[in-house]
Parts: sequence; structure tokens; C-alpha cells
Amino acid sequence: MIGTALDAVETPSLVIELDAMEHNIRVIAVYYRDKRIRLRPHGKNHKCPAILAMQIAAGGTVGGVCCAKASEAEAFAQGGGAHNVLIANQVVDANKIRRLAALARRIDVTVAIDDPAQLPLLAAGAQDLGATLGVVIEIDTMMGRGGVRTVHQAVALAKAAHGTLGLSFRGVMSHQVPTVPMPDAATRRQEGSRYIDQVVAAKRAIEAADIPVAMVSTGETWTYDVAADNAEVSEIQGGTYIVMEVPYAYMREFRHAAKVMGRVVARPDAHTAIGDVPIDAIGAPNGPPSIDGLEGVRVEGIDHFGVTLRSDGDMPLAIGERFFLLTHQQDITMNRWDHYLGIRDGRVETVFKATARGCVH
Amino acid sequence: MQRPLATAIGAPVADIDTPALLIDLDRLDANIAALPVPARAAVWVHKTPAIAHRQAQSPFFRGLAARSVAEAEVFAAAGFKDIRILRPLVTAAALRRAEALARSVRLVTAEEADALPLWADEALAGAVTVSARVASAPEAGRAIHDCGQKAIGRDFGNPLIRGWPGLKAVGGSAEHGILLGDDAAALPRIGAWLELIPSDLTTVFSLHDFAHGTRAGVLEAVWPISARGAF
Repeated sequence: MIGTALDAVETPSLVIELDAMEHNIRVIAVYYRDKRIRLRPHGKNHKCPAILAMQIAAGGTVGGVCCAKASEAEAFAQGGGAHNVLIANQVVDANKIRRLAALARRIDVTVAIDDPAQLPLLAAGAQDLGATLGVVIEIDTMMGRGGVRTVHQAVALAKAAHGTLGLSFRGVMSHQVPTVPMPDAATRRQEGSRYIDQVVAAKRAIEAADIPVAMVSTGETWTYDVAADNAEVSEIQGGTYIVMEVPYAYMREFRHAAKVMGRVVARPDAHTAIGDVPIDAIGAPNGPPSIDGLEGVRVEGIDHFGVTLRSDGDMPLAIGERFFLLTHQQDITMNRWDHYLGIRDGRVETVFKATARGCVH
Repeated sequence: MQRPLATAIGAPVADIDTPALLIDLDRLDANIAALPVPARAAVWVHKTPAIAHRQAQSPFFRGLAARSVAEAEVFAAAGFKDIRILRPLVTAAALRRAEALARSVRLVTAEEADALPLWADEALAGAVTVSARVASAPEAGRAIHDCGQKAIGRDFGNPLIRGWPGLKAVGGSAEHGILLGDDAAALPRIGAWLELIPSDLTTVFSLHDFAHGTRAGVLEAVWPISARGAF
């Protein structure tokens, strides 16, 4: 497989353009070089310990990883490269908590909380294994999902966590997305600052209650620069930047690196081509994927059997010819694949194993 | 790859780490028994050789239908001998792989006529759910659980929640599910176990590495979804 020319690679395949991904990694590493803030790479966007290692080696990171689930944390910790992990999510299952406590005996583990009812569950698992679990309070800034809804709740929860044996109160975190598509820099700053300020307000209130706050984990790819300007933010949970997705095209400093490569298998008429990328190979929850770099050709539809491409003029793709699709939701796409082909100059240079794929528990 | 679970056969279904792909074996077997005419089992729906073997118990089973050579190879390795491939073979490599397969399997390619109907979603209708656990209850009328798009899929719509008629699944989080209820008292609490009904079977089997066969609320079998990722 290594050294194979793209023309000889079977399709569909998920490819990562290495030049683009390495560029993306460099952008944040360089930007954070002389800043206090650190990047906590989100593992869900690549599911790959080898890619995490590239992010950490580039500098500017916390030397660890952000994960969505306990099993994802385990997969990354097993790779050996992550010295600390933040599970940016609540975990209430006794089995999962035991496994996190076991992990916490090897590396630093922090898990999100948003309710006092979660504390005894986490503490029991930690104490059973003689471990300490770090806890961080999730602040809901706009998602309407997990997270405490008020500063008052945050302070009360911090006090309760601070006094719980087996737990170590670390700080506060949040996750947010822009509410407008394609925000410009001013909008990113205005919206992003509003959310980050809410998290910092919770931090200050907790500190006013004499509880130290070491971790302020907020900000994502779309506010990687905005968060860096806030002296009270310790890290961002940056994920999408690494291989990018269509809705994030407004972040022009990052390049599209992950693409689903397909081949035309049928030409029903002069304007139509059927490609061998089924919907389950890319995921299309918000509408069909986009075609990469072909003027006048668009994706008309995608289903369980393939993708339909339509052109205004004559379809430029013949049977057997390759095309690339860009995803509209990157982590959804990456999670459909066990391996990614790292390509450079038209050849496969490396094969990445998506070790954490499917780790939804 | 999903980390293999330590859940023992015979354990209650709610003991399996959430979100888990569950198959009601009584319903599956009833569906299989109800196949009315000779047909090919469409493997892309479940991608699971153990399910195809179960389908092969039907007297109307007439082999498999796969989308691609890659899918066919997985099932040939599991012992199936009659496979139709739907996708046209357009590369030398695909043709070589098909020729290799054809040495041990009766292979029907896209160009060849095959009058057998496809036995697809019907085989698993009503038999598949994904379990979830409520991890957060941050405000009145709202509960957050751990089964998001990556465990159940949203490409064909949001899932339904079994057994909670007043609840609605909203939004499209990748790792979470948000449940809205009109009556705060009727919301499941932190720790509550739920079953969700997926909007598309092919999607849900493309997300998991293992399927859990259950009967009367007890885990009876764990099956690898071997052709997952074999596009």
C-alpha cells in the first residue's frame, strides 16, 4: 500500500493530504508558541494516536488529548502519547467510571460534571481503585445540552466537588459553535468572546469562594485566536482545524485535508455520473457532501448505493475516473473509517489506523 | 475499533456499556420465518455474518447480495457460497479480486441478470435498537443521554425513544442525545437506561463493531459486524 499511486488505490477510500494536514498542525503550533494558552487536541476529529502524536510533537499543546467518551480516552491513552486526558462529557455509568479510575492510575484524567448527583458515582469508582479523578464543571454557554445553567450552580457544584474524597476539582469548561454560518473575524471575536466571558465569570466566582481554578478549557477551532487573547483561558479544545470540513471554510488559514475518494462506476447519461461512495461511507446528516475541485459538477444526491454527480455541461468524468468528496461534518465522516491513507504527491505515504473509531461508550 | 466489552453472556441488557446496538432475537427470528418468497439477503444492511447465517435458515434463502467486492469478500470468508455484487467493477484490481472470489464462490456480477428480489431491511424490522443512558439533567423538561449520531445515525432522521411517549429527540449532536419532555415529572433521571429506535438500519450497522443479540432482556450473543467499513 505504501508507495502506491492514487490511480491504483481502491475506492471508496478516506485520504488525508499530508501537506494540508501538516500545514494545519503548524498554524496553531506556531500561533500558540509564544502564548500562555495551550491547545488540547480533540481526538474525535481523527481518532488516531499517530496523528495526536504529530500534534503534540509540533508544540503548543497540553501534551494530552480531549475526548468525548471514556472508551475514546482509553484508546488514546493506550497509544502512549497522551499524558493527560479530558473527557469533555458527563460519565455516570459505574463500569465506565471504574475504567476511568483505572486509567487515572497511569495518566491524569479529568471528566466533566454538571450535577451534584454525578459526584458520588465518580467518587465511588475512584476510591474503589485508589485513584483520583479530576473533575471540571461544564458551563452551558449556548448549546442547551450538558452543563450548569447558572454561575450559582457552578459555585455550588465546585464546593461540593472540592470537598469530595477521590475527586480533584480542576476548573471549568464549555463547548460552543457559531450561530451564523461563515462568520467573519469580527463576528467570531464578538460571539466567541461572549461565550468565553461566561466561562471566565464562572471561574472568577469559584475563585471568590476560595476554590482554586487551574483549568479553563473553552474555545475551539473557530475561536483559537479569540481564546488566546483571554489571559484567563488555559486551553482550547481544538478539533476541526486538523482536516477541516466545508462549513468551516471561513477559517481560511486551514486547508481541507481529509477527503473521501471515489470512482465513477456508471454514466447513465451525458450529464450524470454514479460514484462508488455510499452515504454510510461519509455520513450526510446536514445534506449531501460537496465535490472537490470540479467546476460545474455538483453532488445531486447520495444513498446507500452511491453518489450521483451532475454537471451543467458534459460530465467530465468517465467510468473509472476518480473524484474527491468533501464532508460537511468531519468527525461524523472520520468515524466511518478504520484507516486513512496519508497521501503526498499522488502516492500513499502512510496508512493511519483510526484506533478510536467507534469508541462511543 | 470499539473496545470489546467485558459484559458476560447472560447479563441483563442494561449492563452492556451504552450506547450498544441491540438485536431482539425473538423479533429477528420471527422476521426471518416470515420471508414469503425466495430472495437474496442484502448484507450491506447488517454487515454481520452471524445474521446472514441466521437468514440462511429460511427455506427461501437463495444466497447473498453485496454492494461491493469488499463486502462480498468478508462474507465469502464466513462460508457463503453464492453472492451477487451490485456495483459495476471498473478497475483491474476489482476485477482481479472478483476473479479470485469466483474460484470458491458463485459470483453474480452487476452485468448479469438475477431475478431474485433483495431481502433487505425487512429481515431486521423492529428488531434493532440502540441503548442509551441519561448522564445529565441540566434543566426542567430536558434530559441528555449518551447516544448521539455516532451511535445511531441521523442521516435519515432522528431516532425514536421506546417506552417514553411524551419525549421527543431533538437536535443532532454527534455524541449526545437531547430529549425534550412537556412534563418535567415524566423525564428520565440521571442513570436511567433507554432504548432508541434508529431511523436507518444500514447507517446504524455502519457505526458499531459489535451487535448484541438479546432475548427477554438478557444478553444471549455478541456478534462482530465484520463487514463494517468494507465499502
